[in-house]
Amino acid sequence: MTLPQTPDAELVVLVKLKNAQGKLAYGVLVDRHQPWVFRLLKNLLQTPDAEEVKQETFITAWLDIAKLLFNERFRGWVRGIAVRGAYRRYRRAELEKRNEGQVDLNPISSPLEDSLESDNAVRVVLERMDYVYREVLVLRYVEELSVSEIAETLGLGESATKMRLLRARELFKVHYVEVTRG
Amino acid sequence: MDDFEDKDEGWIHAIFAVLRNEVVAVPPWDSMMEQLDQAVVDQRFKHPNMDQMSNVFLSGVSKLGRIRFFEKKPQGDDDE
Repeated sequence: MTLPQTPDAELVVLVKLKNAQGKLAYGVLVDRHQPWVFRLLKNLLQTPDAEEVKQETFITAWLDIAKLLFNERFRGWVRGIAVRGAYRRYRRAELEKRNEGQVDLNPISSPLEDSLESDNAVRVVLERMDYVYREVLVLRYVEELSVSEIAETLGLGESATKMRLLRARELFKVHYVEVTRG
Repeated sequence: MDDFEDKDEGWIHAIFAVLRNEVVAVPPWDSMMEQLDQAVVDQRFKHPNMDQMSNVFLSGVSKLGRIRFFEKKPQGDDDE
């Protein structure tokens, strides 16, 4: 079996050796997982920062690979790193805006026409929403995670996750109707 | 997916198909509701047992949305 056909768990064993073969194995893991990590980050952040956070995610995963206890759970582990990285980036951007006096207190006033013309109504709605609600919607409906997986990724209880998801759906529906009705 | 599924789950999951790169666009809410209502009517003809209707609806609405009403994304046309 060549490296590109090797399952994640076996590649992780090689990566943990941190030798030349481990570096090759990590390259395969990065090639395999970076498309969905980028998609996740792009949907969470809604900014060009996604590419940079993706790079940070895979650097962190390489440095911390010894902390991954169950090799077969590489994907979920990387997802957690990416989600935490996205949240840090979001918070930093908010702080920078606040320091510069650019906090958008009324995001609904953001221009919509260009986005709508390119059929980006869903993205427009996500941009309008608070980060915590956007985050849970993306994990549920783009990454298609179960409630328990979302709870684990976000470090929440399942009840709290369900409540956040319900609220996020309600808000999404309100905004989506508003956006698509023009 | 799990016990969180309910009627709204289908709508929202269908709408997010555009971010999952399964379709290139989703229709406006009103249009989608109208079309999906019709889909439920169509399903009744296929499933005369009304007791099964809710299950058919819950499990199938997002697929219906993808297959019948959305412009599907051409294969290989991936922006990532």
